Amino acid sequence: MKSMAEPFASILLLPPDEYLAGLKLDPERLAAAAGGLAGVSEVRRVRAWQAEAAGPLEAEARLVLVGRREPLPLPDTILQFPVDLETCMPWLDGPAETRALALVRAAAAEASLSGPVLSRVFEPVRRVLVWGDGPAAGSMVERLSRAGFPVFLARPIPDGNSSESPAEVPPEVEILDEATWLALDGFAGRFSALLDAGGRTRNIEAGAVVLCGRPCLEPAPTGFDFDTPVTSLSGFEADPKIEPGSRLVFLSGPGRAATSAGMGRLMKAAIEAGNRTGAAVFLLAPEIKVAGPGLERLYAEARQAGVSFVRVPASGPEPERLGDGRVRFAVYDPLARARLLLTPDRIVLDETLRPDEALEGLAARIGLMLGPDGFAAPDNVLFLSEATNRTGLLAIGPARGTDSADGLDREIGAALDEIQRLLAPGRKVTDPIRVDIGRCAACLCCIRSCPVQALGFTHRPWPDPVACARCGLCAAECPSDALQLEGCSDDQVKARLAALMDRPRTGPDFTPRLVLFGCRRSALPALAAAPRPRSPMDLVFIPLPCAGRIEDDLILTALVKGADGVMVAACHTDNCRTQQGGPKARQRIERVGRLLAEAGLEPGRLLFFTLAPNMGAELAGRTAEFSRAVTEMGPHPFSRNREAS
Amino acid sequence: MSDIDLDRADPGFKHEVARRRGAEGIKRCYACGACSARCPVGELNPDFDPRRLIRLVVLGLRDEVLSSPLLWVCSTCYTCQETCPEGVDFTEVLFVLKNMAVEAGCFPPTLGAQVELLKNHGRLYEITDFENEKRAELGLPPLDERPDDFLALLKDFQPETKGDA
Repeated sequence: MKSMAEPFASILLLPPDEYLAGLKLDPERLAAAAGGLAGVSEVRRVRAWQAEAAGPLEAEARLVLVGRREPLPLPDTILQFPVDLETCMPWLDGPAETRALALVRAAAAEASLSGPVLSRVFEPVRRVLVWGDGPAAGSMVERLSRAGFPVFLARPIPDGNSSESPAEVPPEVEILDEATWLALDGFAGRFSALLDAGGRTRNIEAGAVVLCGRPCLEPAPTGFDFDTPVTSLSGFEADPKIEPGSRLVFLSGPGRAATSAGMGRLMKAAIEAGNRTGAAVFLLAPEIKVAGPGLERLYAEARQAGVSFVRVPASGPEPERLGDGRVRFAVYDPLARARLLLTPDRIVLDETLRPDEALEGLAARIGLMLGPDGFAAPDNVLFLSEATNRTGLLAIGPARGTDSADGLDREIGAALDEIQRLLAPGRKVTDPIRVDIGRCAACLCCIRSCPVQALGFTHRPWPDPVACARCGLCAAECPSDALQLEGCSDDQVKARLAALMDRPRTGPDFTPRLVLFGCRRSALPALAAAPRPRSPMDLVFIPLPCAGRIEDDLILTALVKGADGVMVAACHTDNCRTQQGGPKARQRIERVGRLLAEAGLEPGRLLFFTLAPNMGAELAGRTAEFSRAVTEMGPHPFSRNREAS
Repeated sequence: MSDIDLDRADPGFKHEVARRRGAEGIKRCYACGACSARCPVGELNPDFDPRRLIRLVVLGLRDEVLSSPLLWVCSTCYTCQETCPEGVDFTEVLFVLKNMAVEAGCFPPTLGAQVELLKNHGRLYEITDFENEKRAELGLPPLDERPDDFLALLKDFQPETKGDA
């Protein structure tokens, strides 16, 4: 193994000649020039991209893959640095070879600055802790047990309003009843849960935790004050009597939309009522959800059964108290182009799950982020099925607001897959963050800023290799640069910037040199899909694992190295894997903008925006617009001074 | 239109309509509006809206529907029927509704005049020498006014205008 002091040299893999020719590059000249780059020990030319294409490799070799977007399927001790010529070259200004070489130089510099890969074997605890009760917990326990995982079921103290039936569990499952959760230490693969049952505390080691919660159904509060009988859906199902010739109103909400499963139940009850002769059945809802299994069929059946669907505002129909104490609803019906007046003889309210009362207190103790509705599901499309903000801490069924059987089934399957992946024996892990103990001031900024709660602290921060999302938010937040993200350290980003900015400017006309710091998940695919620039453009793209990895220092470095404008592109907030990266990036670019404004620099030279991976056209448009705006401002003062001196 | 009091609506009306031949599909309507968007009559007369008529039937507004003059403005172009994604044969539904309206004694006065013409002439217009001379020039045989066939069909139907149609 090489010592830390020695710079790491890389083997450069050049793509097939036809590929380079397609990019107007001369393979011979490129090979000769690349061979002379710092940090390159050897140049190999490949005929086709396969794992064997690289030829014989040492166990800890570093590869710079020219003309590749993805790494090759090689052991993870071999560090790979793909150079996506196709995506990046069209955005740079100058002769093709200069552009390609700058990109290769950037990758080689990044490669030489990567720390050695220290991989070790991690043996996770196989036991899974399941928290909750009712059918969801029962099914989860049963599936885990069948898959060979030892299971510990913690059943919370019964909740006054919950309509639970106790979970049926296999005999080998250990159960703790009337459990209160005190604390959760450790990380995915090796959690340590402190539970209390009747004054006796238990410490449970578990590799993963599944929160199931308990099914707590209740109708929305209506604030109705009148004599018309109002029942919940459960109440109606228990006592579905209808007077012949009466008017029966099924009301969804008010104030919230029914879930798919809730709407399904409501429609089933309405069909049942509609199929009996003589009753006029109305279903009042802000929206009819049919995007679930069987719902469209139920909707059609309900219409056949004579149920009249009436759309009402989200806040519910307008109630009016009549002289005899009954209620009359008034709803404007755009289809009939008139106001409908309806005096129900009985009102049935739909029910939806409410969050388990124990969940809120629990969340604070175990580092769980709750969604806006109080369930353990972040308001983010990337956290479907089972994921929470913490690795190894999963939430399914009632705990995440899922009330349908098929939804629960899907979540249980996803949870099982995740647990099998996470708790696979003999897993190899590498440390995601380098911590410089000498610099660390123990300020705990990293621990507070970690979106996945993957840092522990004993004298210094300890990033957990299994739980860490490798987003670099902690490293960006660290005020003393004590934390460095492997593969995207400050030095590496700066080296990439230096390599790409150190190109001669072309043309007699001023083409602004722009830097785009962008999330690898959104900005990189967007750039790859973007239409090629039509006017002269010089855009240096610096991919980051998350836009929140950006630091004031990096923005300033870009400007000092000659950028006339800097853009930071993040994922849309509800689509951000780290959930906080975008907002943090925005805060930082705004802060730097204020500082620079004080120094006399136009605030318009900095730009923050959000993107989705498929928004290539948007990215191209934004960039062209920004380039025009910066052209008008002219070269920025630092570079003007530098050129003058 | 003024307020619709659903307390006076007839929940059986839509079932009654749907039992008639041609109108079976009416309960399948989910008000997508494809028919209304393509109706050429609706273009000229915004009050005529197939989707709205179906809605009124579904809500059980028997009297409003059967006495509505709008039942009679359809040009029977069948565009609605061709367009409907749910197979609601709206032109046929209108025939059913018109028949039900006539049964309830609701139809426009022009319909009475048309029946009178048919009773007297077997056609919707009177055959005069003018027509027969034109036919002779073209080598066609003259037409007789023979309303008997039609009268046999009409049997003892004696239209009398009721309602506001």
